Amino acid sequence: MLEPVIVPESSLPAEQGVILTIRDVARSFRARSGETVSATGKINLELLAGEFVAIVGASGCGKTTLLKMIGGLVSPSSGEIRYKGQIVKGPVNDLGIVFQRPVLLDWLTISRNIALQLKMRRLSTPAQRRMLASSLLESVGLAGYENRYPWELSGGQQQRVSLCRALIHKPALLLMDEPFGALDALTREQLQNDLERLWMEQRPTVLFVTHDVGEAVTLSDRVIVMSGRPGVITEDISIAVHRPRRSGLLENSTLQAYARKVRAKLAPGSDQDERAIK
Amino acid sequence: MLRRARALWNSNGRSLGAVLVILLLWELACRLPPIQSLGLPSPEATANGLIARWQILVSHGAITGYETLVGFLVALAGGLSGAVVLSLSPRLAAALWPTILFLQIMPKVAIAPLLLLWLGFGLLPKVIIAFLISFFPILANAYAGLQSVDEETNELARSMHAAGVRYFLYFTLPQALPRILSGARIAITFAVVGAVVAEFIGADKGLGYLVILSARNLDMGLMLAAIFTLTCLGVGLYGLVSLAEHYLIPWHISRRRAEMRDLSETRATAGGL
Repeated sequence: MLEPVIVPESSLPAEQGVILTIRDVARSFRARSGETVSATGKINLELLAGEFVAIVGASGCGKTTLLKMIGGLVSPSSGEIRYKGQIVKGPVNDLGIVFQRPVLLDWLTISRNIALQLKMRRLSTPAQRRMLASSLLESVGLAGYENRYPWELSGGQQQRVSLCRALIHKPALLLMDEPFGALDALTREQLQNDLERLWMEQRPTVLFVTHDVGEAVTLSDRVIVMSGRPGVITEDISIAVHRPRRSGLLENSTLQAYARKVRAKLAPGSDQDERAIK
Repeated sequence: MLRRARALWNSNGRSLGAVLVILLLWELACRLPPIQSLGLPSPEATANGLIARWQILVSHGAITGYETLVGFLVALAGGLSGAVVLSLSPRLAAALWPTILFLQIMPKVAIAPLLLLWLGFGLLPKVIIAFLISFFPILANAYAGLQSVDEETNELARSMHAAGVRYFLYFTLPQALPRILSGARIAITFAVVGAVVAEFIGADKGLGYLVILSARNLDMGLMLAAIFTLTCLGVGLYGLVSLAEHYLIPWHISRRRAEMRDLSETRATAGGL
């Protein structure tokens, strides 16, 4: 096991450059009935290189749409997204992505599933790919699983593999769409620890969509609250707690205070949602 | 050793027992007067017929097997390329789909007389009927398979910048293989039917011809022997597709088995409760 790198508080992202700018971005689509439906309201956001940002909000507020627009997987209807100064048109080059489902390919072994990321990008030799995959697998406690097939693994193990695949090419931007939402509490905590450690080693910019306030606060440098339908950013809260936090929500009273704060900001939004439904 | 024998009995013994019981009932039925008058040969007589005329059966079987296999292989190549073209161009697919559906529903054996009229009594019309009848199941299944990459997997591929040929080879094709092979499974049994029906209409060799000939001569023994040979041919060709599945999609088969095992375990647990 690799020792976690301790990042002093002073080196947290505030000093690093802007990697992503989102200006007046909104996304709408035409519904079957012919009317235009907004998936998100107008959104303005800046992400710093190496920052871990969580987006929380009620379901249907457009968190996932925002995530996919940032990765270039969905194009905005209006506004502009710049990644490393370039306007995003299509999938961002150094992108890693983790979905709620593991989305592993049944016909490839675990090792090949992870290495596929490099193979599709025509990076490194087959032997190097296997080696990189093995060492990542080892770092998430799955040493020796290289030649297994996805269906032979539990849900939590599969999601670990999916995390390895998203990180093997050392992406600058890691998008995570409720990655631990389908896991039991214990497995989720282990995966949060794995994620924090890997993030501290590689320092990609992470955008993490979740509806779990505790998870958002524990993992991120910034929590962005979206509310309304279509959703807009209503709050941007920096979490100034040193790392590694190692799922410290239960013991760390500062994190608990942040969680209460985020929940309080979310609450009026969810009230609105309920009113909108009525 | 004993355990292995028992496992073998459990898996195959019962099926074998069932076959023996059916043969016994058949033998007994042939001794009943109302069935005797129909001239149904007993299992014993059929077996004797098979052994006595195996050379004829094999030589005619080879003809039917050839027609079936060539028709099927051409259908496989055509169906796959057709499905790839259609999946590359949704517009073309939308334009052609009604026609394809119409042709798929049209009973292909009904065209056999026309083909024989045009092409004579040789092997070609039989191959064409076998091709036509097996082409559409392959096309339809392969097309559906090629469409079956889900939204998230597609996004994953795009995030990896897997496009064009690499996307096809690493995402679309493997995802489609189980459907393609189940199409082939249907098609190969259809192809046998196509070849035999074409032989019924006009041929001077093949197992279909042998069936018609033996009907004319009231030679029930030969007829049953020919039908038995035809079934063996079908089973053999079906086995070829299963073999292809074994090599091409071992992951699919194992996953299916694992899921079924989980299911039966769940059921067993539920039963225990």
